[in-house]
Amino acid sequence: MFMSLFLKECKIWCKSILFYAYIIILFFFYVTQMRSESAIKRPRPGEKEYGITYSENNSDIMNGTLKVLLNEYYNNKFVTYPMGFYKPVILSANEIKQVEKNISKLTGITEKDWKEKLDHYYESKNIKWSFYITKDIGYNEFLSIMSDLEKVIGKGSKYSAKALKGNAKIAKTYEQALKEYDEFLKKDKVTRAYARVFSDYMGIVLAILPAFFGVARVLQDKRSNASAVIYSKKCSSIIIVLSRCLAIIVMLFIPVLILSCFSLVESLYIAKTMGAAPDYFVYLKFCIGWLLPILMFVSMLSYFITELTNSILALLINSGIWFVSVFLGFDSPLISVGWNLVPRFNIIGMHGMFQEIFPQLVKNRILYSILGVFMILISILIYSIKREGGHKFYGKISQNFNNQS
Amino acid sequence: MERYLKISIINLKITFLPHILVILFMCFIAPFIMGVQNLQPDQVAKIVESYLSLFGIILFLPVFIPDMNNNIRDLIASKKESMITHHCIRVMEALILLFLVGMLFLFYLKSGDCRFLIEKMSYSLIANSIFLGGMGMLVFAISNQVAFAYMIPITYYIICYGSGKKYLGNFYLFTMQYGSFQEKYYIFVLGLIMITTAIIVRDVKFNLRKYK
Repeated sequence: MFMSLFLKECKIWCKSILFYAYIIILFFFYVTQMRSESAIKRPRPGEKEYGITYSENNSDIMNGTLKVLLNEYYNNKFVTYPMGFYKPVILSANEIKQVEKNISKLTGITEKDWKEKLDHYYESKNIKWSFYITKDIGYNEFLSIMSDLEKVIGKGSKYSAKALKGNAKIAKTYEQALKEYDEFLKKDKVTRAYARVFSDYMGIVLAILPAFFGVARVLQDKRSNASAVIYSKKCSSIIIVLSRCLAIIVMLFIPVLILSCFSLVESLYIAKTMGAAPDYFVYLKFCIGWLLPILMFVSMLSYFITELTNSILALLINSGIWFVSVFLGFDSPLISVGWNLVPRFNIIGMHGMFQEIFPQLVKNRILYSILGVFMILISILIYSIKREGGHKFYGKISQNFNNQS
Repeated sequence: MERYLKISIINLKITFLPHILVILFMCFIAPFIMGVQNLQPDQVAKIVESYLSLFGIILFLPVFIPDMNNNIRDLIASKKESMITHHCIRVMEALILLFLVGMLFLFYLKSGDCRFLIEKMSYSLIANSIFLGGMGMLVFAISNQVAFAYMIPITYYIICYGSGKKYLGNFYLFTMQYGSFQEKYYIFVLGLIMITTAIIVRDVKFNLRKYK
């Protein structure tokens, strides 16, 4: 029974314009985003620069932070992440004065002098950076000034204790660049680095598109007035809802897998030309581990909300979640995980960084997978309640509670 | 005139109320998730183009939602006013709501010492909103699928964030952030064309169904 219903559901999607639009959009995203990514080149001794990395040294952290502070002060645009999301803060005249006082403390130069020097630096482009933390300030005092700055600018600024290390950007040495290249070749096996970026891009679209399918499927019954007929059938609610949910997940996941094959072939070619031993199953692992939880959570959340309300409310809620997860994090670092629905890793290479965020990524993916399964279970429950009489309130289960009160 | 007013009040209560609550909620949470004070014109443009423009999808899509139910559609059709009149009233309501809420938000930004020309920003907001909303309405009119109707403008918006600047030319939504206003004329005109076409298509389809 389950299999025949499941196949019927899959056939419904095969005839749906929504499904074909989904495939076209995924393909468009893949072509326009992934095709522009280029591989890491082997560094050679004596090159002008090898990129940037982050220092652990206190002096580098302090001077790096001063540079960031002066840059943000000059533009009067202080970047913050108050709830983990991007928010530029423009300070008022009074707040700017407080920042200026702190800059004077940090540099040990009078306000007038450093302002002149800063204007001169930004107006004539050929001058070297010459602002450094005064020797009178130790790391602890520096931290206390940073804490004052955070109070003025707001939470989640680049001056919070956690973010300070990120300000200490230093030039990468040849040895560091060579190590990263070796990791790209031997540990990432080239293919893994591309699979991460593929998952990053696909995650953005998969955080919204599956929502339309959950809504469309539930509302289809309402439109065709089929609910009452289906309710009267012998088949259990578990089989009906489960076959529908699994059909959505499977049908939406197949195009992702097919696209990943295109990307895999490209990365295999690059790996072979670079002399790396590729990982043939890495895309499959990333699709299941990284993208499937997004797809499951988004589609099942919309299915559950639509089953509960019989309205398009799910589209608004899912759009809101997408907006918060993706849009507000667009200006954030290209590598971020946390508990965000859409983890970001938009850089080819950086194996070490990926290893650092990996445990959090696993926890994050497990959470969304559990939530996805939970949504299916609640949807089954709601469907059962509706079947037992909830439908007399025009299919809106929420009306039952209103009626009781 | 009195009848039109009655129709619009009923539409406001039944069709638009949840959507009005959504856009008011979006206005309410804006200060918590983005900077709304002391902004420069390009920063205000970013809010208008990438946040407030979404009001268009939220307000214009419900124009056809009541007619999805065949019984309601037949009931409305049995009244003195034609379907096209009902749709035009709903579009006007959406436009007025968009203008009111948008202007309130822009004045709120002004009160926070943001620097921008209110007439340019309001035009930009209306142009983008009409464009996205019109796109959704047209898809709705053709496909009669609400999920598909939301999917297309939302995807268009996402494409603008991706590589849209490269591919969409004069129909790229976020031009004012980069200091260009010219494109808004194209967006506005095409938005109006899409709304008009959507109403005509919907009405033609309805009449065809009636005479079958």
